Amino acid sequence: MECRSVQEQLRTGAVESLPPARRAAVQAHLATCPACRRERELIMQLDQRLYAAVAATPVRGFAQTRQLIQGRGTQTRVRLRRLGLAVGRGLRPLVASLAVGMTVLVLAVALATSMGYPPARTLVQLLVAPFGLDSPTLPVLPLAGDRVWIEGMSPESGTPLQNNGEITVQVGYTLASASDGVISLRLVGGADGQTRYFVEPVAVRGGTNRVTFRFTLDEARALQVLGPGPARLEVTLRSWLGTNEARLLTRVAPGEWQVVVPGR
Amino acid sequence: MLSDQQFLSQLRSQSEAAMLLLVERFYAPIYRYLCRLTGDEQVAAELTQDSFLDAYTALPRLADDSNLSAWLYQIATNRARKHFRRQKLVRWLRLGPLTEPQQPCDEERMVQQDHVSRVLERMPNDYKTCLLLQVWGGLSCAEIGAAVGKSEDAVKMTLARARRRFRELYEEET
Repeated sequence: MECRSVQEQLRTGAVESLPPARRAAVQAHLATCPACRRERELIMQLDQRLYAAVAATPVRGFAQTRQLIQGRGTQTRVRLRRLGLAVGRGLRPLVASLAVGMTVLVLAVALATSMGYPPARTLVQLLVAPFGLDSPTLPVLPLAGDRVWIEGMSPESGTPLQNNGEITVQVGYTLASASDGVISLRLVGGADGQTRYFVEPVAVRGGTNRVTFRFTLDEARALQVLGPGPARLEVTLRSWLGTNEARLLTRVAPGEWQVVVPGR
Repeated sequence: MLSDQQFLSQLRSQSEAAMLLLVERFYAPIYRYLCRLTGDEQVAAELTQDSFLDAYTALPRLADDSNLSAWLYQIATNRARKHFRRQKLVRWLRLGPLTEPQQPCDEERMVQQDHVSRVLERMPNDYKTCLLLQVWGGLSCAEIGAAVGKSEDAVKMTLARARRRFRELYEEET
């Protein structure tokens, strides 16, 4: 046999498992070849060092495994362990992520609340902020609780607005948060249906209440800005929870007020 | 004193006493194998525990002529391979305190163990698995083949290459 072939056999560490004839040939070669004997010694030496290094490894976790097996209900514990509920390597990243997420959330809510912002709104903002959305563009959420509605107005519906007399609009609102909100009132109309005639907005505080707008419609200016014809009376409540609106269809030029959308 | 047949029979019935005996006898060697294979004490402890739980559920299918040691090493190797697949990128970390002997020993032996640790860190996964199963686990090439999903000839080839690589790296370290 050639040295190369013998040394390759030695490196497999399985000379003993060779067929008898082949094993005898290897042993005969080793008996006459100092280089291959040296190679065998070197292989054995390295194997021994590897074995010694592994044997020196301190053992950990034995007690936990023994405890897992010990006692009644081993099957149940094994199933729980498999589900990651007992020791939980499988769920550990998830649990850690949830813990970090909850901590951040609690801190954010605490901070926002201390600054006077309602928690619900702050959470919504936190969620939508990465998508570039801000409060005015957010839809009103069902849980928000903010509402605005038109309770009544003077002159009453059906009375033409023909002079510069005082106009009164009574607006009811619910502001769920403890922070401020703003109710604005405007007439929207014109040829394009989008031209706006604004009335001074009113600041409101949280809770359910009503606010009365008293203003004088500058008929000449209203006619100039909006033109004669139908115009919508829009009441808007803006707060941290979003925007709420109530609308009425009216008429700037002599005509009749007409309620189109009941206040909500 | 239980005979091997009685022990196997009790194991198959998932007897708690027999399972505890199995754990007491094989925990340390399996843990050390996995520790050297993964290079991480915590991972090794968890994989060892998982391996014994795998073994527990597989006990009823244990054959009469089973080599318990080879069977457990096979389960442990499967666990380790699953772990590597989950990790996608296998990184062999320096063992550090693992190489600290439990009992006092001479400085030369400590240096050798440190060299071996560093060599194992740099060894390819399949080389290391086969070499550890043979040198530490005492498995035959056929048993290693069953554990790693290779033919006996392929295992022999891997072992020859692993020893060549082990020596190259060991010489580099020293």
